[in-house]
Amino acid sequence: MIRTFCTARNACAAARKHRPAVRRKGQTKIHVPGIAAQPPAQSQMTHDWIGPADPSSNLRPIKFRVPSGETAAEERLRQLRDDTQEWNQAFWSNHNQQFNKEKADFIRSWLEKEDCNSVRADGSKRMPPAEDMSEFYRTFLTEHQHSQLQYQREWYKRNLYIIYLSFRVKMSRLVSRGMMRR
Amino acid sequence: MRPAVYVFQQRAGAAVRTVVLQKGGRSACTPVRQTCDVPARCLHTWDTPWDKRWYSSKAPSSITPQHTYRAVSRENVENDYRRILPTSASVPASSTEPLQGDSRQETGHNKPTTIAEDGVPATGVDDVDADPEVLPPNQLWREQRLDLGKLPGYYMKLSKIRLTGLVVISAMGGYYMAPGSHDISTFVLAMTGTGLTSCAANTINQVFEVPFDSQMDRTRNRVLVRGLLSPLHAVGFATVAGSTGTLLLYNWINPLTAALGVGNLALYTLLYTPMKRMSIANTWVGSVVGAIPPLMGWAACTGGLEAGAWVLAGILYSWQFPHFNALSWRLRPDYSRAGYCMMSVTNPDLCRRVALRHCLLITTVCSLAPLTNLTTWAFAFNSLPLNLYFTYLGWKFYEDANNQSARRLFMASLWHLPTLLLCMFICKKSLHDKDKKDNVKAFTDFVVGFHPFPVLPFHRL
Repeated sequence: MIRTFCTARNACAAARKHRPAVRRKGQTKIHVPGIAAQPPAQSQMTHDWIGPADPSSNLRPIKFRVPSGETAAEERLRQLRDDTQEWNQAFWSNHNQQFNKEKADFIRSWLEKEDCNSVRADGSKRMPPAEDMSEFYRTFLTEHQHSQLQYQREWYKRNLYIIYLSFRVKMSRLVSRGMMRR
Repeated sequence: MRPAVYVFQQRAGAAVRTVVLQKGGRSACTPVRQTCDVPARCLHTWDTPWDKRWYSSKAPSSITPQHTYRAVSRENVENDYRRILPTSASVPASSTEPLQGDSRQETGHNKPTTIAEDGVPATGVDDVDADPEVLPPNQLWREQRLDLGKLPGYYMKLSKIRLTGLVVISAMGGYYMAPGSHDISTFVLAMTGTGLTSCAANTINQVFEVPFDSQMDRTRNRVLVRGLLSPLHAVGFATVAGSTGTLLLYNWINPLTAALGVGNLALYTLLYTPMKRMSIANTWVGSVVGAIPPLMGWAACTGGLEAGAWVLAGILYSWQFPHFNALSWRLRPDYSRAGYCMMSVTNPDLCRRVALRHCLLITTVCSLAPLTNLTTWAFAFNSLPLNLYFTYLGWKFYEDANNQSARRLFMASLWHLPTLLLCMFICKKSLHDKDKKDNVKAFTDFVVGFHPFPVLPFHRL
C-alpha cells in the first residue's frame, strides 16, 4: 500500500516535474534536511553527498567532503575513492553505450533480414523475439568477457584498498578523538 | 466509468522516463488520444483524485507539463495497477532507442509494455519525505549521514534476511531429521550461528557487487548501491556477524558445524562471487553453497554426517538448479549487460537440460531416501505426486522455454521445497520405529517445548 502510494505520488511529481515554480497561495516549499536538488557548497558540507544514478552508467556519484584538518591518510583515501568513481563511471558509461549500440545494430540487421518495418501497425516497436535476442546477448557477453574480467580484477583491488584505508582512517580518528578527550 | 490506464513514454532525451497516467471520470478533462503526440494531463491518480492528495494544490487546471507524451499502449484495467507498475525504479541507460536497456520490454509482444516508473523508492525505506513538487526522490542528492533508527532495517537488507531465513529453515530441517537427541538450547544456538554466518556471507557479497548491482533492475535499490551505509560499515557488520556465528558454533555446538559454516562462507564469498563473472560453473558452486546448511543442522544434532544428511543435502543441491535456471531465464538482458556468466545467457540449451535433469534427480533421490533410514517408505509415495508435477513443469520449461514456463517453474519451486520438507518431517523414520511410544513422547516433548504451532496428532498417522 505504501508502495502504491509512493508510486502514484511520484508519478504525479514526475509528470509535473518541469513546471515553473509557481508559489500557490498558502503553500510553501518543503525543506527536508539532508536532501536537496544539488549538494551544498564545500564549506557548508558536513558529510559526503550521494547523487542520483547517472543515466549512462547507472552509478551514483558521491561528492566528497574535504574537511579542514584533513590528514594525509584521509586525503589519500578521498583521492582514491574519487579516482575509482571516475574510472567506474568511464568504464560503465562506455560499456552501456557499446551495449545499446550493438543491440540497435542487431535489431536493425534482424529487421532487414526479416524485411519488415520497424514500427508495427498499432504503433508499437517491432522487436525480435526472445530466442533471437538471446543470440545477441550471448555474443555480447562472450565478446566483452575479457574486458569485464580485467575490470573485475581491478575493481576488487581498488575496493579492498579503499576498505583498508577507510579502516585505518577510522582507527586514527578514534585514537585522535580519544587523545583529545584526555 | 471504468478507468483506463495509459502508459506513456516521454520523448527520448538524455534520459528516458515513463509515467503512468490515468484518465479519470472528469468530463472537463481532455481525453488523450492514442496515436498522436498530445499534451497529456495528469488527471487522476489511481484512487485519490488530485484535490484530495495531502501535498497537492486544489486546482488541477494548471497542469500542463512542458513535455509532451506519446501514448505507447492503452489498456482498460479495473484495479490491476500493480501489474502495470512494477515496484522497482528503472532509469534505463540513455540510447537512441528508448527503453533499450530495460529487460521488461522483452517480456511479451502482446501485452502492453510494462514499464517501470521513475523515481520510486522501491523499499520505501527513506527519501519518502522529499519535496515532491520539485523532483522525485530518486533524482535528488542525499547527505550520507547515518540514520541510527534505520540501522536494523539496513542490516536486514544487507544480510538478505529472506534468503537467510530460508537458509536457517533448511538447517532446521537438517537438525530435525537427524537421529540424535534434540535439545532446545542446542537447536537455538545452532540456528543462530547458521543465520549469522549467512548474514555475513550475503553482506560481503553485496560489498563487492556494488557497480554490478547498480546496472541491474532487480538489485538497483540495495543498501550499498544507494549509499545508505559505507562499505567499511558493511564489512564491519559482516565481520562481527560472521565471527560471532562461527564462535558460537565452535564453542557451543561442535567444530564440525563451525567448519562447515566457515567453509560455506568462504565458498560463497571467495569462490562463488568472483566466479559469477568468470564461468557458468558458478551455478554448480552456488548449489553446493545451498546444500551445506542442512549438513550444518545435521552435524549440530549428531556431530557427524551420516547417509541421511547427504540425501537431504542432495535434494537441496538438485533443487537449486530448476529454481535458479528458471529465475535467470527472465533476467538474460540484465545479466548480459552487467557481465554475469550464466547458463541462460551463454548456453540456453544446457540451462533447460540441467533444470530438467535435476528435477528428475530430485524425484529419484526422494524415492530412494528410505533406503538410508532417513524416512519411511511412505515418503517415497507421498512425495511422488509433488515431484512428478515439478518434473512436469521442468519438462515444459525444457520443451518450450519462454518467460511463462520459466515463471511457472520458478513459482512452483518456491512452494515445492517447503512442502517436500514438510512431507519428509512427517515421514521421519525414528517417529515410526517399533518402540513407538518413546519416540512419540520424545517428539511431543520437543514440539510442546518449542513449537509455536498447536501439536498435531502425529501418533495417529
